[in-house]
Amino acid sequence: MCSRLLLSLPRLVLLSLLTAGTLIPMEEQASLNNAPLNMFTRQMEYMKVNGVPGVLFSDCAEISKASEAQGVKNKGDNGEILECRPESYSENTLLIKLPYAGTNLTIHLLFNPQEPWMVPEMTFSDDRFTSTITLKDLEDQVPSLNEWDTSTDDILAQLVHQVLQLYRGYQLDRLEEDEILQIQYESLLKALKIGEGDIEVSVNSTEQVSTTSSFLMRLPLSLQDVPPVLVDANPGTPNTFLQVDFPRREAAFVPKLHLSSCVESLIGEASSLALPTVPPGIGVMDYVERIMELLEEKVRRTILSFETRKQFIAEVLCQFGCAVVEYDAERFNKIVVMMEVKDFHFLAFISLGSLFPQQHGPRVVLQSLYHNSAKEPVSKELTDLKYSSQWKPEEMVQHTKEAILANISSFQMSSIRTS
Amino acid sequence: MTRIEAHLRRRALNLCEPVLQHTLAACSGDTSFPLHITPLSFYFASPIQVIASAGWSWCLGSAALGSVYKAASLLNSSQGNPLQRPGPLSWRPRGQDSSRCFRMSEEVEVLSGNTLSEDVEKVVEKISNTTVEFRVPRVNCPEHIILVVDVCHEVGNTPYRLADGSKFSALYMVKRALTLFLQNKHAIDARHKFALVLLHNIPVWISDFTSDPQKIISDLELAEERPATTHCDLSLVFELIAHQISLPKCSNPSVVPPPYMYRTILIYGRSHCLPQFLHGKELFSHLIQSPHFVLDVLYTHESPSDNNKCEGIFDLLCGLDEGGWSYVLEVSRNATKLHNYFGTLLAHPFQRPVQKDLSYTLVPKD
Repeated sequence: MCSRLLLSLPRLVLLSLLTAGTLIPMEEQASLNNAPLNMFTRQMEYMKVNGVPGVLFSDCAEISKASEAQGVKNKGDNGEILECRPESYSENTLLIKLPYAGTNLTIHLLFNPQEPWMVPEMTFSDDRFTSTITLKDLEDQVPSLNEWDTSTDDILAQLVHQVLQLYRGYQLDRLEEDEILQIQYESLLKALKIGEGDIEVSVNSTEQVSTTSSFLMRLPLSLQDVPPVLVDANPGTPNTFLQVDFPRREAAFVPKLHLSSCVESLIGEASSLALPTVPPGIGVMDYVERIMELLEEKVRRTILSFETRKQFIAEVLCQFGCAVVEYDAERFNKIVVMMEVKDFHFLAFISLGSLFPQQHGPRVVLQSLYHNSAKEPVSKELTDLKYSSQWKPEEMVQHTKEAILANISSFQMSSIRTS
Repeated sequence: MTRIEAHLRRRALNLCEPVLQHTLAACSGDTSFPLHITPLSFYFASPIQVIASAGWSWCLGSAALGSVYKAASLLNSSQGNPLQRPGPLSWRPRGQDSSRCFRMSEEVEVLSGNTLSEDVEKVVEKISNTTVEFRVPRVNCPEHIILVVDVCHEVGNTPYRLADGSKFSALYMVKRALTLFLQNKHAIDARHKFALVLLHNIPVWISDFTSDPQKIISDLELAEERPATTHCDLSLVFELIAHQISLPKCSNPSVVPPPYMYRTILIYGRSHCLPQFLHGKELFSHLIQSPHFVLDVLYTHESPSDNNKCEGIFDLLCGLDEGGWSYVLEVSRNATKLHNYFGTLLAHPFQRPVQKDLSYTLVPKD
């Protein structure tokens, strides 16, 4: 349930304090009256393009008009589904939903339909946070309210950022009331060598009721040794987040890993990475160090896989350079060569992939130049390829060659039969 | 593996790199290890940056690698007279040359107190006289392939005869082989696109670029043989192509791979009609000078004899390969060879060896 902000202060005084710098020409006022929230389209677009400042999960932030988010469907008299007319309140309200430390903080901005250029009223989904804010807090820490200018593209972004700083300070104040969490927090900052901007804290325990408190931290996982072609394959910032929930004071904390798509493309999806179980009594800092070791090992394996793939492709080119058809010259995932055995020509598709060499060897498929069935040439995958991850690339290529030689006769016969 | 071999294998990694810089510096006094190769690789580095830092950038073709192996092994085994250098030994890309090997910079000096062995001298001379041809990075960018299929049927054309006695017309066999080509090319990389042009008295653009090989195959199935014409104007073919395509614009084509490249595969099937540029070669020259346009030719013909012009036609078609980058293949009524050559044509123009270096034989290790 939302509570209105600063109802104890005379509204006129508040508005005069907060809107001192806002001047709109009369003719523009008339047109703005007809589109109270459309005037913020640029500002909303700015945040969509540049991200929401001040939150770690910027991509998960949502900005919407309340009328879009709160449409209600009713059944008409004849049973058909009707779209309910939104309340006038909803028409003039922007909702900014911000993920913060595993929970959400929603900011409601209510604009005056007659004067939409005026600074909006703000309400928050966190009642306790709302109740702690003073006018001085707003004046000191949310100066965009005093400098409200609807022609500025980043005015909403500035407001959100300043409100989030206020919220961050509020959470850190609450953290000081919980000595154990405070120690965990400070040890994390020190051990990970991250700044306060890289960790979000949500403290939800009270004397009467203990609910889940959470830390959300950006892990300093370095990708500087990863070949740029792998990092650049996916858009977006490579981010690694660890959320740690503290459900009850005495219970063990619960970790959750969140990876951006860029990082997932390198080391696998977060859901597939088996996080170590939390030993009883372990501190968050020690556990996070184990997570970092796990992730850094994954990154090392990715780099090793890339380098080994490159060496393998190079070895194939060394031995079959005069028969190369095509190869993946960026990620070294595949090479196709044309070969001939006793006047029988064929293609050999050799695929590697991100799990090579640690988990599996090259995948080899022989494909016909002469015979096809339905929509593709006749092909055969080699299933008897000997492999060891300890072999050097030249050994792998040699065994690949031997496997091809061993299978070529049967492939030739089967392709004639199959076509 | 000797250290030289280890270094040469690392050098083989350069075949995977679009732009390379190698600096060779002699290790004085170490006769078993006269060359120290320090590979540095750049992914799409600016050539200016590369040149400023080290002087040279080059791309080594697979044909030249053999020479490097031989040179290094000979130098490795030389006694008492290592190649001593006051500075880096560097490789400079030269102008176009069909041999496509590498050439030593003029700055190379061989300093030694005694005479080098004869074998080493021969290898050094060979290295000095070869040149590297460097045009585009060896990256498998998507190909946009224009298939120009000649549908003319000349009187007296002999069919293909298979081992089981069945006979098929030349166009039918080309269609079969092209089907496998399209399917295989799509399997290699689904980004490749194909367009179809049928060539009779004039070329006709039948299918626009598509990555769906089945579309081209379906259109190809509908193509019918047409009576032979008295002339074949190649000007019209390349005029049509020039108007249908848009060559990619790259600021530095020798370093930056294009988003795609064009390849025209001309499948010419006449044995009595000389293909000629009856309306000039300007558009052809404009296309062929681009590093992102490659022309390959597959000539299917009757058995050469005094009654036809196969040899003259083949000479003319070879003349279309002005830069030394094309594959010009010819086949008579040999179905297996026809399919083999379509396999040869699967190779990506930016990564394939020059035609004279092709070798597919897989030899078991004794």
